[in-house]
Amino acid sequence: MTEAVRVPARPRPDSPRRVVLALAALEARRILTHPAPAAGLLLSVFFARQVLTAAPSWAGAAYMSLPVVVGPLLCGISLAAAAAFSRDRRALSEEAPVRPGQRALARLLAGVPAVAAVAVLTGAGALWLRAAGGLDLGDEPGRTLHAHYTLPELLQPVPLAAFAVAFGAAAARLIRHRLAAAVAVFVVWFAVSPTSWMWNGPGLMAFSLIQTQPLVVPVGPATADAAGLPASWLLSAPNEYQDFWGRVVVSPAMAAWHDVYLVGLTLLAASVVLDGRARRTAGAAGLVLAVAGVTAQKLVQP
Amino acid sequence: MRPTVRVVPLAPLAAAGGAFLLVGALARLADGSSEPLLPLAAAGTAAALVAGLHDPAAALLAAVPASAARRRGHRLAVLLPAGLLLWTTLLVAAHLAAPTWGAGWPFGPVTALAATGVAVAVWAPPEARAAWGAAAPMLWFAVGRAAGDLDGPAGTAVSTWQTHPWAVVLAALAAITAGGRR
Repeated sequence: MTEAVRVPARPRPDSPRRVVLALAALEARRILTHPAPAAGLLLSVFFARQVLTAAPSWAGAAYMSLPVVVGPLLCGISLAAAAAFSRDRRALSEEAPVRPGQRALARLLAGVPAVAAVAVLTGAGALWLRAAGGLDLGDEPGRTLHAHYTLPELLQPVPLAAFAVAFGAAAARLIRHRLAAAVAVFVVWFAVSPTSWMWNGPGLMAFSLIQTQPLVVPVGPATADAAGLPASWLLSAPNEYQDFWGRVVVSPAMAAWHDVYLVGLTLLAASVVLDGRARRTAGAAGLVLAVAGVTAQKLVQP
Repeated sequence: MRPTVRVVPLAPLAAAGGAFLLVGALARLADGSSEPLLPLAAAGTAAALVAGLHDPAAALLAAVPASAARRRGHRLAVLLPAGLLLWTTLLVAAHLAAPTWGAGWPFGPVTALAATGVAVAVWAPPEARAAWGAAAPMLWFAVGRAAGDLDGPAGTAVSTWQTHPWAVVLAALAAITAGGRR
């Protein structure tokens, strides 16, 4: 008599998608519990408090400075992403059953919760600002105390956070020494955030990472009678930085195209760590979006 | 010293230098001056210098007769001239020879941050000496930028590396000396 022997089913290898998602979940927890984003968030809160409580140096100082306070948080996210990608340099990684491209994709996806957290914080900030009545913008006789950010301006921190993840990843990939990559990431974020005004002149603001509006468009010499200008205009009076009357303009179109430009930069940075077709696709799409974003900004810039 | 010269990582100083020269050149194009970036350059240079203390073989070498302090001293003998060269290069590139920055210019603040980083590295857990040491100058700079308007002792503390750099250096040297056997 023959006896049927039950042979245990051979374990089926997980699908690449499940592997990528499992690694992404693991790395997401590590990124969110890394000390750098928490420290960055704390510094951003202090930075925002400083901006909102300081005596304004010029009309619209708070409006122009608030978008910048997200810089330390973004630096923290980049440092955590760089730490995640630095783990790929361990010799053990070569023996892993997951391909390098899958590991890179998983670690990029691991940044999504951090990006979502930035989106939630930005939304909370916008609601608080709405409840507080808005910000001071412009000089008398063209001034408002109830200025609010436009939607494209409010969206800017989200692509910036995505870029922070991709930038940290690219830095860790391009710079072999882990601490050297961290120093480079720190230098770049703190060069573009507290000194954002250096990168937001009329010529460079289309290329800047953190774009701050409004723009000031000259409308008359310092001796002009401002009362003769249209009453609906927000105005910037002559001061130590400008010798003319200017019209204060917020351009939602420019902010929207700047968001597109940031998405392009994010894809370009991501292409550094991806491989194969994903790298080529991300690189090409990123280049197209970045160029289109800059070109369109230049076209709509007041 | 020759083996130490071979293994000391100069990549952090090279990365910081490259990043600053690029950012500084862009700043000069945009604004005509890279001077506002100098405090950041000081923090980055100090952090990169301390990051050079990273020794992947530290655990292996713990058993050799040369103490950790002695090995750290050898590394600093390589790193300090390299850091000095980087800082001087950045000053020259920024066209800043005049004392525009107050106390201890031009070497006081960067020395204060670097000495603080080394002191933190000395007292940090062995597995994280270089990381904690490199983080210290960056964090001090970042706190000063984000919370520079604080009043009282906290407000004084966040800017001490700029206002009283040599006092910071002395305090850091005392901490390094006290941790000499670590």
